[in-house]
Amino acid sequence: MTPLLQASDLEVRFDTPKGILHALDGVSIEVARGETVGLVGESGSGKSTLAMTLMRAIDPDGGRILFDGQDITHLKPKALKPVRRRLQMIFQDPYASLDPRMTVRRIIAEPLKAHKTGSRAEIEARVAALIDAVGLPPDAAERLPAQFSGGQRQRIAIARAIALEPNLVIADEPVSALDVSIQAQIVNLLRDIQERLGIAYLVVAHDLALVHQIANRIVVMYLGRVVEEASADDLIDAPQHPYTVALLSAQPTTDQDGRSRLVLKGDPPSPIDRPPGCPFHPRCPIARARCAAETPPLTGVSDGRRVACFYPGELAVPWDQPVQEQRREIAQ
Amino acid sequence: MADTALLQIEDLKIGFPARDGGEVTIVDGVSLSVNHGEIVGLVGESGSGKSMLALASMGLVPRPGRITAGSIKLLGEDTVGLPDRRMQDLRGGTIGMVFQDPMTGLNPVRTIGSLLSESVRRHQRVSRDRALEIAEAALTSVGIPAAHERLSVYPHQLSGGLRQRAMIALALVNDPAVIIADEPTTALDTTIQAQILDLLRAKLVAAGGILITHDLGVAAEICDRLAVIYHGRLVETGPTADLLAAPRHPYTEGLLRAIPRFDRSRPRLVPIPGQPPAPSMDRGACSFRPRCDYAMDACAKAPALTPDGADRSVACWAPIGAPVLERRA
Ligand SMILES: Nc1ncnc2c1ncn2[C@@H]1O[C@H](COP(=O)(O)OP(=O)(O)OP(=O)(O)O)[C@@H](O)[C@H]1O
Ligand SMILES: Nc1ncnc2c1ncn2[C@@H]1O[C@H](COP(=O)(O)OP(=O)(O)O)[C@@H](O)[C@H]1O
Ligand code: SF4
Ligand code: SF4
Ligand SMILES: [Mg+2]
Ligand SMILES: [Mg+2]
Repeated sequence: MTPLLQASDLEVRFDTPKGILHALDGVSIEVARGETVGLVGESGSGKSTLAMTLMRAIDPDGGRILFDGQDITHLKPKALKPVRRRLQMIFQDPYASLDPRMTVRRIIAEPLKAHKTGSRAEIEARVAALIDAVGLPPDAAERLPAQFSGGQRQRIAIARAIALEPNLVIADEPVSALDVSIQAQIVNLLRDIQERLGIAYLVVAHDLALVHQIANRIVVMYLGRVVEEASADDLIDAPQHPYTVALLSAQPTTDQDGRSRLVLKGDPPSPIDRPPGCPFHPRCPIARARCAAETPPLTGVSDGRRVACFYPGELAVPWDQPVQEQRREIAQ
Repeated sequence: MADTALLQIEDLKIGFPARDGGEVTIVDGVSLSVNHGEIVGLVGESGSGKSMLALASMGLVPRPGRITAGSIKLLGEDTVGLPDRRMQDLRGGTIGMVFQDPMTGLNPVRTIGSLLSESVRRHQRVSRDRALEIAEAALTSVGIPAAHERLSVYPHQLSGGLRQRAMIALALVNDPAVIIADEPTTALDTTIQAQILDLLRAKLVAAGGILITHDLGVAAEICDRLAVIYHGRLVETGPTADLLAAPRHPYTEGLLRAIPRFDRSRPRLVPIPGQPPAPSMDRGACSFRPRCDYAMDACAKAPALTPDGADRSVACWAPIGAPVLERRA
């Protein structure tokens, strides 16, 4: 079966006062029907740019986007409209993404009206059902976004995104701005909706444990490129790319496991002034001469696993047992 | 050990004028002390009063807010109601602060060198050149490469990680006795956060410090003791390992359960139901009651923070793990 979303070799360059900024450098990504793909990476690595490009809010300078087999890379707004119905987005900032002057009813009804999904009464009933489905009180319909907390506003955004029962929802840091206790509520809501409607998600997040919790597959980006891709469990249990190893090792945890940390030196380089060769080599603990001269391509190392490193798996995680086994021991 | 505390906050209350002419209490009777060589983690959700507590310790409660009761002793001297001049001497000298957003902590129109050397000259009688030398040494000590060249750059010319290091250098440049870091890594990437936590651990332990964070994982990484704050009140305190292994307050337990963990079976997350309270919510009952699984009749009256075993305290009528009879009390 063709994947629901298949993007290949996406290029996005921004013209900035300091020079050309290569935000996406040959990024390929796939999302299958009903699956959840997690996207992680340092800030500035291109996650939001990729999300916006897939939504057709940024025009790529190269590459191709297929949605359900249809090439949507250069579709004009009118031709794009039926695709929009099946492809929705949720943003990080529940404050900025909702029109402050519109009631919750209007916000949620908007996509339903735009796509003429039914009579006024039908839309009314659908809005009420959506408000209930995302766990907001019935009287929420008449209120303005300002009268809600961050978590509740994210529920409003989710209700709007699922109103048309899309096939794919792209969520850019949907819970990063929320408190932990509220984060868990929203994560559970997203999972329940997926079970009910079979929606596929592409979820951008920086918390690896959170991504592992919700994603079937995880894609790791660094400086505009995909550096590793694997099933969520494989990525956590045996990361192959040195950056993934560092990311996993830096994850703060309340498990008093005495786990040693691998702390990287230096900052991520600027995407304007990208290092030659492997983009990670200035910070990579196992870099050698070849890494500064040649760029490692993203290649398959085993079934469903891809990694862009000349020496995959060589940098060992700084602990003996897979993280998930450690958890089990602590829990016992 | 009370008399050896570097910073001792006692029964502190902070209020803001309310629209109806009254006053809303946003920090309500908090007591917290920091000893030499100790890192205390102050953990709580957004709006719980963490930053206000930090600002109060620096004598910086924003107007029209004010400290309405209690004391804050810095090396034994009560700073509440101290004249501005004296407070300015202490701030940046005896007590240093690191903010979440380096752009609030670092004046954007001043070079790093002038920010640091001015702070040095405010607190130490040294020449301009000597102050710059001290500034350069401070930058080096927080791991900023090419420190000498960095003296003449502006904060925005540094990356996020380096800027946070520069702010730590500014907080440390006069060897303060106490350092308060308010969400110092929240705006940073995970790998940079790990670097900054390493640095903070080394620096805070050499003096004494408070690390404020909403992330229990971050607190667990470097804190010796934790204090959990909810609705402007401490609900639980104790040594980090004990508190995490066996939380006594239902809110602490709820926070720990809500955190996603690496687990192949992906158990459903257990959220805390409902929302954190608005600061204006009535304080007569236990503030956590509307969200608490264990609530009972007694909870209609607010419990006080009470000693609870070795080095621990909890504000709950029925702490988790207490004998059943006691729980029914
Ligand atoms: N200028 C002000 N006037 C009135 N209330 C205020 C003012 N500043 C802060 N508050 C209130 O005081 C309470 C505590 O705020 P504080 O900034 O200390 O929270 P915090 O725990 O640091 O939260 P966060 O995790 O979001 O930084 C909040 O409810 C906030 O709305
Ligand atoms: N409209 C734009 N103009 C110029 N540069 C941009 C624009 N949008 C993003 N960038 C740059 O592209 C890079 C990738 O950004 P982004 O996709 O937002 O990263 P992420 O979401 O992973 O943090 C960054 O260096 C960012 O500054
Ligand atoms: S290619 Fe070289 S520098 Fe790049 S990640 Fe692999 S080992 Fe490190
Ligand atoms: S006092 Fe009562 S409501 Fe408050 S935390 Fe304890 S059990 Fe829950
Ligand atoms: Mg982004
Ligand atoms: Mg704060």
